[in-house]
Amino acid sequence: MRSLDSLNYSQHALRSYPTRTALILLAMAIGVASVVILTSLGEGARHYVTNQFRTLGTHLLFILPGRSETTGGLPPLLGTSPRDLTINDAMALKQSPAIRYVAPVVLGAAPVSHGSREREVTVLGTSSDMQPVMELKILRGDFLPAGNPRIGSSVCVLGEKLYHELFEHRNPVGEWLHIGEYRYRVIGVLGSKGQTIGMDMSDAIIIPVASAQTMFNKPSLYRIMIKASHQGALDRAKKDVLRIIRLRHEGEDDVTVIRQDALIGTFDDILKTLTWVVAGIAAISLIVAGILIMNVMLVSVSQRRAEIGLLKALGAPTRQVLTLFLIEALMLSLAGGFIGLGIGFAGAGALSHWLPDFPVQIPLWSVIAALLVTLVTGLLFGMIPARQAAKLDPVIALSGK
Amino acid sequence: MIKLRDICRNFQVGDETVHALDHVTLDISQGDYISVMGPSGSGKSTLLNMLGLLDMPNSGNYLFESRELTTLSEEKRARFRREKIGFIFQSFHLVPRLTAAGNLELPLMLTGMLPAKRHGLVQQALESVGLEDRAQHLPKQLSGGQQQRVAIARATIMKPPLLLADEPTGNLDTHSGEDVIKTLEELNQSGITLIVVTHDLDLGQRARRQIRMVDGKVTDDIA
Repeated sequence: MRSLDSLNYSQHALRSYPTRTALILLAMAIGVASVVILTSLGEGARHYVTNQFRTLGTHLLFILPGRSETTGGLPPLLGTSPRDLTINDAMALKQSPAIRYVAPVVLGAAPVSHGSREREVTVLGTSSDMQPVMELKILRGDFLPAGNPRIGSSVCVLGEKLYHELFEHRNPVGEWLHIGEYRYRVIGVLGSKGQTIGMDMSDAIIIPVASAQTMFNKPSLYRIMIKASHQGALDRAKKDVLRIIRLRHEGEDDVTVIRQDALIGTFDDILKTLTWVVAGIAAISLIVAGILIMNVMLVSVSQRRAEIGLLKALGAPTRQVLTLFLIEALMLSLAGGFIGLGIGFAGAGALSHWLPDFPVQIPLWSVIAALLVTLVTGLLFGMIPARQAAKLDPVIALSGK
Repeated sequence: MIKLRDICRNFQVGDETVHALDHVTLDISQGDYISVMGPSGSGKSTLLNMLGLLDMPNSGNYLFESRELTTLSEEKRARFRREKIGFIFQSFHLVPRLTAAGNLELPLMLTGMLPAKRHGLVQQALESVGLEDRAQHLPKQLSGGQQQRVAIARATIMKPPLLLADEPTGNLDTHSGEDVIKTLEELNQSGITLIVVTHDLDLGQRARRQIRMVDGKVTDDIA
């Protein structure tokens, strides 16, 4: 039989059982759509997280007090070093030609009040270098002034959301407010930066690092953020950081230096794995749909025994009967697969519409993988009924026994 | 044309061996018109299936135009059936979702023939059984007699030298049965070898040669 005739014969057979065919198509379509939508969510999460890191700026290094003793583990986020990271350490790093900006960081929380309005906010103590490091935009006024970070001053920069809450739409520059029991003068307002690595910059207040150390009674830094002179200088900058700190810390390597791109890479890997896992779970529904195809095809073989016997009596070899039933199974799985892709793309489109900030993206590999799994499912689960049909004894099939 | 030599076909039913064909020897000539009669379980249908290569003997030889068929592979047997043998069944065995023309196309499709050539042959075959105006009718839209005539057209569309009919009038009323038999006899007169298995004595006696079977043996062979 010619290929086109085989296809035509099989599609005719499928169309003669519309309800059964529609149910299998639905099952297969749901499986494929699940793979596409779940992987698009996983991929979206990956892009969202990596973009969050990228919003910090480019070619950055983070220096944390304490040393990670084992490779591959998380850095010591809480810092358990016998020696503190100090502002002097930070200033010393500027010796390196590979390092352009150095921003010491002290973090804390304190109540901020202006007039009758008060709320608890994150207080970020840093230096003027933080602006180029994190590529912060200024909405009004100025950022922290350049100068000696060891010397504190009573000036602050407000996050945009905090500014709106405390001052509504009035110009806050030059106004005074209270952070804890200290008075600070507002010198600027940050433009929208949004959420970065779990910290909402629009809901924070920035003060000089030395002032923050006094406010929170912390002689040590939470971390130091460094911007290398360019991407190619990151390795050199990291080596210089380690060398300078070792010299200052009596020969001890007691800090951990993390490259921003390495951090992004780690999260990227974790979320990629998560996406694969989610896709794998969704693929189980494809296997369930495959079993349904097998079940329905077995029923079909049983109902069409006389037809199979007739085909054999008319001279169809075993191979031809096998091919016809296999084509039916493949048509079901592939048509279901394509319908599922349509639903998946529509679903991802709807998600993008409802979650505009979340970058829903359908990875090409998930489309290819879903179609491949569909094809293999159709072949595998279609083979058993097709073989049963092909092996049917024509005498028994025609006798209706 | 056909020589059956010492053909045996046994079936195992529980502990018992049933001899459906018990050392059957037959010679069939080109253009013969043979009826095979006998009680149920006498081996008539098994003989027909054997002649049609749907079943194979446990022992013996089957020569068709001097070619030994018992040693053929499954693939070659299928090809032989396609080219040399036409089947007509009691219950017609038309594919219910295909039109009359679609059912007639099936054997041609199995040969890999192109659609344009198929359509011409289908039209001719329908005309030969007087059903050219029923080409697009589904089997359920045809009477029993018309369905059997479509089945005859399908069986002969490849112009096989041998036509095997198993109770061809079994599901038909007298009038339709007579029409079908006349069609078959016309085909025989055109040179096709016709073998009819039947319980119907009147139909059996119309054949030029009558074979009677009992317990898998040929007991009478009257020419």
